[in-house]
Order: sequence, then structure tokens, then C-alpha cells
Amino acid sequence: MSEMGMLSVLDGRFVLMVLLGSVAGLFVGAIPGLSVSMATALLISITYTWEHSDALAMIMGVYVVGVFSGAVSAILINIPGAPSSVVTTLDGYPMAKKGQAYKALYTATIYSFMGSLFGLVALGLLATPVSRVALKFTKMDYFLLALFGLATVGSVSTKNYAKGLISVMLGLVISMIGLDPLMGTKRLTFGIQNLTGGINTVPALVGFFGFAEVLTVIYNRKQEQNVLTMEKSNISLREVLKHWKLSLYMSTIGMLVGALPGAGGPVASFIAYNEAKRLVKQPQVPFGEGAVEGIMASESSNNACIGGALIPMLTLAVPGDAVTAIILSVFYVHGLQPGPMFLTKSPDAFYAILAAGFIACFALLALGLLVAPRICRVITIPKNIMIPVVTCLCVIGAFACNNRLFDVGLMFAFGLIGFLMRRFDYPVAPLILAMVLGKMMDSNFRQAVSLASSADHPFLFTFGHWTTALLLLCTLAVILGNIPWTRPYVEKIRGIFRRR
Amino acid sequence: MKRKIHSLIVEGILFCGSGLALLSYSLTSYANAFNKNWGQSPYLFPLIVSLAMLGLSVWIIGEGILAMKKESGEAVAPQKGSSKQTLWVVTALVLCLVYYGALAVLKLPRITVGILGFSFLFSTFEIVTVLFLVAMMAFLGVRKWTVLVFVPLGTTLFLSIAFRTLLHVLLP
Repeated sequence: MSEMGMLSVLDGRFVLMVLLGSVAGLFVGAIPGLSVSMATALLISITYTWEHSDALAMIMGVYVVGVFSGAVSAILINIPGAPSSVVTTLDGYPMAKKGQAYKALYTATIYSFMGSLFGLVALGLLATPVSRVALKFTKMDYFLLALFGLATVGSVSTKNYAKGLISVMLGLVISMIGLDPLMGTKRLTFGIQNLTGGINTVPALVGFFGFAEVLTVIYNRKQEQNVLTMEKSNISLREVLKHWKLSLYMSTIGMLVGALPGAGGPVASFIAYNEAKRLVKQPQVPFGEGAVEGIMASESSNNACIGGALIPMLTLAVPGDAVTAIILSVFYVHGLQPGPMFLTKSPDAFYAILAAGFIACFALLALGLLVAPRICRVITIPKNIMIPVVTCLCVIGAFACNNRLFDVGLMFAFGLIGFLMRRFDYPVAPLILAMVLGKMMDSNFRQAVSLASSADHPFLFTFGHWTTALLLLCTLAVILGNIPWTRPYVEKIRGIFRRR
Repeated sequence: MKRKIHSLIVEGILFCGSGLALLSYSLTSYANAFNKNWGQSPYLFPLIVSLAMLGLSVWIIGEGILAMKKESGEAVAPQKGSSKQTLWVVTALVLCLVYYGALAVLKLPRITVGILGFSFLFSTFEIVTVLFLVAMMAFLGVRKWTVLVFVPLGTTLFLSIAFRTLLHVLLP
């Protein structure tokens, strides 16, 4: 860790910001209806005027602890506080029903801590080599990389690939509103002066994640769940840690899945859970009925995703999930430019993220063991009280970024669109990623086309580089492998390679 | 018996319309622009996106037709309570729009209260937010008057002090 990173760890204010973020993350993640994405989106507007190290510290605290704390409500009330904790409910709630809620939470805390640490260590080790490769990227590579990310997120975030891609297109359309990035020409503003500067990311994010959630909760008004009681019991750390080797494997899965744009915690935890079922032949309790191995797999992998998702975000400016897409916009708000040169130009910000992540890991451990067992009452705040308060927070969040009510109106509009998208099974994550990446894709694509038009062999000039060819093949494989009419042919080609 | 059109077809037609609108926007804007080089044109990317959107909408319509054929022999149970749920969302949206309108239109005098060396500013946001919270909670089924009085007041005070006074975030 650099001198700057070490200083960050020793700076009391920095540590305090991480701890505040961690406490906020614990509650936000644990309360169903509030999400880490929503909290991060709201935080951008508050941290707008702060030092970037303070802002990053708080956001990392929310991110790391928020991903873990989804397990609290998953175990106690059978409702995952975050999408990545869906798998934790499979064994966590049955354990709680058997009177082992404390053991379930203890296991979730220990393995979330290990998973988060693993992901962050991987981030520290892999960021530099990935940046070195990224330095050789051409304009077309960046376009294809973003396209690959969007094609992947479209495929993993929904059962219907066409809907995932439609969501991507909507995000790209939103990103095109305002001045075009190369020539400064107005596009899609329709004479509205407030749209000239483009759609600000904050009201869009607050709308899609915050207000859309409000409308969804109102639409699905249900009776409150019963909270299972938790009695503290003596648990041997050695017994909990006996799955540490398997946890490392699950964390590796989580880290790799997290690095794939769009996949994120939910996908990682499902894959890890299936792997655990395959590898652990004779669990003490069958999977789905309260197996500790199930909680270990889910929590190790979804927390390792954090570090994994940050690798492409910091080194390639391609976010791995919705939260990292929001963190990417925090970087832009604070004038930081993620990408291959990020580690060279802004090492302080990189090490601040790492330091904040590591501090948040220890905060997770402390909060998970000491505070989480005591917040049963808080996670069941009636939704009819919580929802109006969240709406007010959305209004403040949307207004604060530019101090104009126009953004509040935009937030409501995006919230309605986000609600309708959820209602009709259109995933929101691809839209957000496309919205964040749209301008970069537009400018890189047009620059690549302009450069190619002056070359002797335009096609070879554009796709002749090995990284470009590889990215093009990967992108085509993802797209064609997901289209129903072309999928059989792609499978045939895969079969040929497998036989060889 | 009258067959209901599958929702995928309606969605596909909607996106097809959007794609066509974007396509015509790109082409007309390009035709009116000074720069006639597509490679550098700011309307190249919208054109590509519109074409992709058209292709995807055809795909979705196709899926809708296939789903309709598949469902033709099966009896589909009517969805219960969906109109009631939609009404809840519409009412919530109306309340939010009234809140938004009140924040935009009303200009109430600002009152500054000084307590223990701190000065707290109260203006349109605080008054309108208390009323909005009461209305929204009542709509969502809160009937206890103590909750309806103290939660909105406490929340607004907390939001005002936390954001305006401590975090120096400008409020509407």
C-alpha cells in the first residue's frame, strides 16, 4: 500500500467516515425495501461537495457492509435485504427456525468478512496487471469492451435476453441526451434548456433505484413478516472456520463473477451455492434445510464480488454491477478519471478505496458479531412509515446535485419508468450501466470510425489488433449465444472445441 | 371468444415506435446538419441505437406471437387485485406530484430559529414535507394519530437539521 493509503488508514476522519458508512450500510442492507444501490445513489448527492477521500470512504463502508447485511433479514425474516442474499435465505431461515439464528448470523458474518477480504486483496493484486493490458487498448477496444459488458449484463440479469438488450438501448438513449461528447452538438434536447447539459446521473439513479423501489413496495403491499427470536449461544470459531478452504474457492468464484460486467452478487451466490452442493457430498444438515455450507458459499461469494466488480471499474472504467456504476459516477463527479491510467494518475484515490474497503471489512466483522443480532426490531420498521421517509430522501437526493427542481421531476419520471420496467420484467441494471457507459462508447466508436476511414485497409486497421479481435469474438459469442435462433449453432461450435 | 393480445406484442410495438421515432430524428437531424460525414456525425450513434431497437422490438413481437400460440389452448386465470394495486401506485404518484408542485410553486417566508448557538432554518420544504408525510402515511394505512403527528414532525426536523444545518446540503 502506498504512503497515501497508509495515511488514509491512520487518518481518524477517514476511518470515521468508513465507520459511519458501515453503520448506514448495516441498516440499509438489512431493511428490506432499502438497497445498497439506493443508498449509494443518495450518498452521491450528499457527498457532492466533500473531499473525494471522505466520499469514497463513506461509500465503501456502505457498499461492503450493505452487501453483508442483506443476510440479517434473510436469516431472521426470510426476506433478503439485498438481491445477493437471496441464496442465504435457503439455509439461513431454516436454521433460524430451528433456534440457530445466532449461529447462522455468526457464520454469515465470518464468511462475509473472509469473502470481502479476498475480493479486496484480489483487487490490490490484479489492478496493476489489468491496467498494463488496458494501456494497449485502442478506441475500438474500449467500444467493444463496453459493448461486451452490456451484452453480458443483458444476458445475466433477465431470463429474456431481448428485454435485457432493450434495457441497454434505453440507457444508451438517455446517455445521448445533451451535448454530444465530440462536437458539442445538441441531441435529443427538444428545446428544453435544462436538458442541454445532459441527464445528470444522480436524479436518474435515485429515480431508478430509490423511487422505483418506493412504487414497487406500494404495489406489492404485504403484511409484515414475523421476526424470529435470537438467543445468543456459544459457538466455536474453529467449528465455523472448518470450511475455510471451500470458502476460498467460493470467494474465487465470487471475485471472477463480480469482475464480469453486470453479473454481480446474485449470480455469484447462485453459482457458488450449486458448487457447494456438488462438492459437499455429506453435509451435516441437507442443503435447503439449514446447511452451514450453504450460508458459507453464498456469503463468501457475494462479498468477494465487491473487489471483483471494482477491478474493471477502476482499470477499464467499465463497472461490474449497479453499485460500481454509481461509484463510477462518484468518480466523475469528483473529477477523477478511472481507466488504465487511473493507478498512475490518481494512486491516492485507488489506495483510499482499498484502505476504506479493508477498514469496512473489520467494521463488518464487529458490526456483524455485536450489532446485527440486536437489530431485529429495526429491520421491521413498518413499510407504511418507511416509504414516505424514503420518498423525501429521494427528493432531497435529486435536488441536491444541481439545486434545481427540474431534477426532482426527472427523478419522479425515472422512478415511474423503473417501476414499469420491474413490473414487466425489464432489468434496470443494464440501463444504468448503458447510461454510464453511453458517452464513452459513442466517442470511442466515432473516433475509431474516423481513424479507420483514413486508413488503407479500414477493416484490418480497426480489427487487426489482437485485443480487438479477441473482444470482438467474445462480444459476438455472448450475443449469438443468447439469441434463440443462433444458439444451437454456437453450441455446436462449442461442442467441437470441447471434443478437441 | 375474444383473444387478448399478449403483453410482449404491445411492448414490442411500443419499442418499435420509439425506434422509428429515434431513426427519423437521426436521419432528419443529419440531413439538416452542416457536416455530411457519417463517421463524424453526432447522429451516427443514435442511428445505430435506433436500428438495434427496431431489431429488438421485432424480436419481442415475435416472442409475443409465439407465446400467444402456445397459450391459445390453455385457460389463463385472470389476475386478481391488479387494478387495485395500480390505483395505489397512481394515488401515490399523484401525492408525489402535489408535493413536487407545492415545492415548486409555494414561496413561504423563511424562519430562522436559534437554539444553543445553532441556527435552524425552516422554509417551504419543512412545511410541505410535514404535510406530505402525513398524507402519504395516512394513504398507506397509518391510523394512530400519535404516529401521524410525531413521525412527520420528527422526520422533517431530522432531515432539515441533518441536511441543511450539518451537511450544508441545499433543500428545495
